[in-house]
Amino acid sequence: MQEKDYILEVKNICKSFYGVEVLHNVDLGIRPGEVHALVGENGAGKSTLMKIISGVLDKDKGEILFEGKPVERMDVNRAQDLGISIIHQEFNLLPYRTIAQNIFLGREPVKNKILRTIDDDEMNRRSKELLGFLGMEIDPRTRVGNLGIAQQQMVEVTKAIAVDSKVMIMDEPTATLTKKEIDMLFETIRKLKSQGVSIIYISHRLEEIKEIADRVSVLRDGYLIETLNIEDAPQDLIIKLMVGREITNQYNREYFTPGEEILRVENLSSYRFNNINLSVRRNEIVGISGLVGAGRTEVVKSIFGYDKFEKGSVYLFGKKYNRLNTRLTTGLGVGLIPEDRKTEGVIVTKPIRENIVHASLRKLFKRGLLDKEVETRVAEEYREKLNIVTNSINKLVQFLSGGNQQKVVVGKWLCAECDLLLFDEPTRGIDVGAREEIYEIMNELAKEGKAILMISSDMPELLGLCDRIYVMKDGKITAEFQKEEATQEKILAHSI
Amino acid sequence: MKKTKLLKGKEGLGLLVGIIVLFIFMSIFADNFLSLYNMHNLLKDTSILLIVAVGMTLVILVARIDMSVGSTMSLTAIVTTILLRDGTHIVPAIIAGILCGVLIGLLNGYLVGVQKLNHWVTTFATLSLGKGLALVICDGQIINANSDHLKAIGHNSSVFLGLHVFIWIAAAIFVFMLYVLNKTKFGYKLYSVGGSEQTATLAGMKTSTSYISVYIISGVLASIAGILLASKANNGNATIGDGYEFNAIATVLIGGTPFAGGRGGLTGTLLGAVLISTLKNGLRFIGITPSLQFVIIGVVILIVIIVDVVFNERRKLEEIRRVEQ
Amino acid sequence: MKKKIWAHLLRNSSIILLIVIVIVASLNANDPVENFFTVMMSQAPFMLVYCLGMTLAIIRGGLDLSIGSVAAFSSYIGALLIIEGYIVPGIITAIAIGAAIGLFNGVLISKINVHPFIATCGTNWVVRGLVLFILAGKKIFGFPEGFKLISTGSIVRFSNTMKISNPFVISIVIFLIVLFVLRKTVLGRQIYSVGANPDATRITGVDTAIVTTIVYIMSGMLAAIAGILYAAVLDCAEPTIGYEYGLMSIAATLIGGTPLSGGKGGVANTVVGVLIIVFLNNALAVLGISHLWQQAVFGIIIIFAALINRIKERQLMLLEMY
Repeated sequence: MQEKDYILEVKNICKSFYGVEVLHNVDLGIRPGEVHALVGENGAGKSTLMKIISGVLDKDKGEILFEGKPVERMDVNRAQDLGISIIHQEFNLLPYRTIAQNIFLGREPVKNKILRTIDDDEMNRRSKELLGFLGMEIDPRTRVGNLGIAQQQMVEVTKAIAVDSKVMIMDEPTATLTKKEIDMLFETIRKLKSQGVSIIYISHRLEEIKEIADRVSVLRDGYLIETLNIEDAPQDLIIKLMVGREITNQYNREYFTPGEEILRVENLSSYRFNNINLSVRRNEIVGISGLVGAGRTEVVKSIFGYDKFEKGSVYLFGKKYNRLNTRLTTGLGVGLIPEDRKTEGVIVTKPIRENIVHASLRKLFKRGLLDKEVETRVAEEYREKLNIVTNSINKLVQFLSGGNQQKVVVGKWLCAECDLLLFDEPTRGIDVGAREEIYEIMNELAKEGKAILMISSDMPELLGLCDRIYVMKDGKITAEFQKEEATQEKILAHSI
Repeated sequence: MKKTKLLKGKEGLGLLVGIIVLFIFMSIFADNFLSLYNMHNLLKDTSILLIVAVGMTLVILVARIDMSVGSTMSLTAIVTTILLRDGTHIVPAIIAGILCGVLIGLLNGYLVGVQKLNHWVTTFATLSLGKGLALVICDGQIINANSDHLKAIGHNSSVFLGLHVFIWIAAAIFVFMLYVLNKTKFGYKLYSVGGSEQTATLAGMKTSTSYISVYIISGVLASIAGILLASKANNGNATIGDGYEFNAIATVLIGGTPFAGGRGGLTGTLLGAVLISTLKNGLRFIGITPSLQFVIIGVVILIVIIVDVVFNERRKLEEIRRVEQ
Repeated sequence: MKKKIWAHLLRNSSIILLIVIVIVASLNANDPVENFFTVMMSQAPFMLVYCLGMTLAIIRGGLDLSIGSVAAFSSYIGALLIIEGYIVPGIITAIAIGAAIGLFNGVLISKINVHPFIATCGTNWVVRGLVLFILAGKKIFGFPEGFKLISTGSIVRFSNTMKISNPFVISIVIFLIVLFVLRKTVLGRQIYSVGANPDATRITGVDTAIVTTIVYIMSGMLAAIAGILYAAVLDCAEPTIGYEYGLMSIAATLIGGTPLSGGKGGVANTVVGVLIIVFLNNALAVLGISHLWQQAVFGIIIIFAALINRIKERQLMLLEMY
């Protein structure tokens, strides 16, 4: 295939966030009128790449060619003008506006040039047409907020086809659709394809890809691994390429006989998850695997008392609780290392010293009076223990690297003498060297008799660290594996 | 309890019921409340509040606030009356007054929309700036405009087709803004920016221009209201607009445009303005002292705000729930 | 090195501003030293007391606009008792009323999630209305001598001519207490962390609603104390007390360098801010500018202080990165 035959091509795209490179020299070419599937694990860089193509994010390096010509400055308007549209993974709909108003957001047809009056009839008529094209018999004057989630997704699709696009990016469009709606969507994709529209299709569901895609590209850890014709790509090959990372011995995990049970969750339910049962014992690291949105974070936050749950109970240190709050759980010795480090884990505008004693103020200073000497001593102790790289414990946390920030969060809970630690994506956005240190710390904690429950989207990490792994899908636990029986393929098969 | 119901009402139906209940209540307790004269007066008062509240609706629609409307009214009233007193023609005097509103709106819009300063404190600061300037210009005195033209606008006899000029002006502004908000690209954009700044940005919109324009509109409308207030008594003073920001905010909230932005509209605001004016008029009629009126209105407004917040949070939660299931 | 100097200059910019103002003021005044002290002694104490409350609320990530009416209301109710001779019960009642209104604000803000601005502005409106309604324009004056001693007496005296007035001493003591709470106690640390990052603070097991409520209770109590002091000095409780408190205290806090974003700054900054405001106020008078300018000037000061604080924060962040 000649280069000039590509309608859209990206070359050597690089992108980093906070010093962590998430895309490395990615090359990708899209042919006119093809459905090009893009697959990869959580955090492989798919969404970032698509955001760069659609102008939402700026690239650090590399170039984007459209119809053979390089595009100098890509932004949202430029991308729209070129005919690149995107259906984002998160909804970008206004719930209080009608379907038609959402479909034509920012591009409303105007009937009077001076007053810029909007031609409502035209808008509704064309919306009805477009909706009909997707097989949706629904009044375009309905408010989007009154629709079900699947219908909202279809509105997103309609929004994308309303622009005369040449390239349409669909980021997990079927995650919330039923079989019937998926068939309808595929029908639409085929129609669009026959009109020469190219589609970049991101999905975790490999059967779908088999059904709809012409070619498939695999991203892994920010590298584009391979692009294959769909005929040459059986499912097991795709899975192998997706998880192809070797499990190195960077984990150095020692295993111990588990001690007493510290956490047991029975039939825990809320509107985000259903009937969750799990347990964690001392000296154990237990993992929860699953796709983003499977309800993992919500389960952990409910166990911690940060979110409310509706039914079921949580046993902490042998005692049963039907309602929890953070004051109670932290008092018992539970600590949460949240996924969103900067907004929930640390106070970035405060020094390391203050962050480390943050959760143990009442324990350290029983009379309610701060003692700077004690504070400094304790902070120094954990800096040393966790090897936090800094020239001073008075440095503001916002100037630390992600890895060192994470160590501060861990230090905060160790200082509070926690026995049960809940890690939510412990190594997200952390570079390789610091990752190993975090793993070492976790291993050390398990050795000391602490219990760890961790969520991770990084499968080698789960396999390398955990005694047991639960797999979650759509708010339910679908499988539990002992470390001996767990493989990446098995886990993936239960989560998608 | 009554207020909760009002806000839950289907598209203003509850509000209408509230107004009717209030009317019945007032007509029982105050003899002449339902008289033609008082009804006309009530509509006149409503007109001024409505003009200010229309501007406030646009600001709240984009999830911002404008505390400075009251002082903009005072400043405009002072500037216009002082120019008239010194013999300026009515047209340039009014234009100069409205210019005050434009400038304060522009300042608000620039600080909030471009500099991204906290909109509460910024407009609070421009509130005292406007009021301070008004005080300085009038030297703390009541300015007697002595203008027949100004008097002609506000006088009880300036009636057109049976209704006072104020009512016609408010109606014109209301209908025009209703059209702009519901039918033009500009109005659509306000709903998008207020609904979700991110969604608007992803659709390629520039949000700062929306903020600047709503603040300017709010300023101009406050100026117009200020001139009307001044014309009523043919004079102006620096406290003429005091408290109007609160009345306007309450009007907008009662009318179903919540602080969260992106939702609601002017029809509710119209009903809200009628309700607040009726309450004020009625309290006066029953013979409650001005200071107690002040307290009662304050309590009502506070309740409205609390209900708005509580109701909105519950609604948000329910929505997440419904979408997730 | 150069960067370090810059960072220091930026961090202490409000002190530098104060020094410049003092120098300019003393160059112009006839008897700079005496002038300086008389102004400070007479105006700064009350202002500092109610500004401390505002600073606490701003550090917590909100603000308290009700302080003016709280000062008026509580001092009036207190005065009703004091005029009958019950001095101590009167003062306690006044402070308790301040605390109660603060509690109301705190619950509105932390439990019902009303925006601090609108909540306290609403309380301000209602309480001011109550003051106007109950007082109906009346003034209470002719307090017992014991109460007037609060303003006229001086506990600390070096000689008959060298003495420090009581309001000054009281405000310093209160300032030191608030400073101690903020700097040296767990509660103070929690106030800062709730302001800086409420989510992360809740995750560490702190009940952020209680911390918030305590802040507003303190703010209400401080406003009540300011009101009492003011009544003692004027020998009069009147309905117009505190109209300008909200505006002045926001200006003083911001110009002192406590940013609106919360979790930063402190009451020591506010002392500097108060002194700057007092000087500016005085300068307006000395220059023969009508007091009517006050509101406009302080509105502009707030806008500039907010803008400067933001630029300062950004610059400091860039400088401290290395």
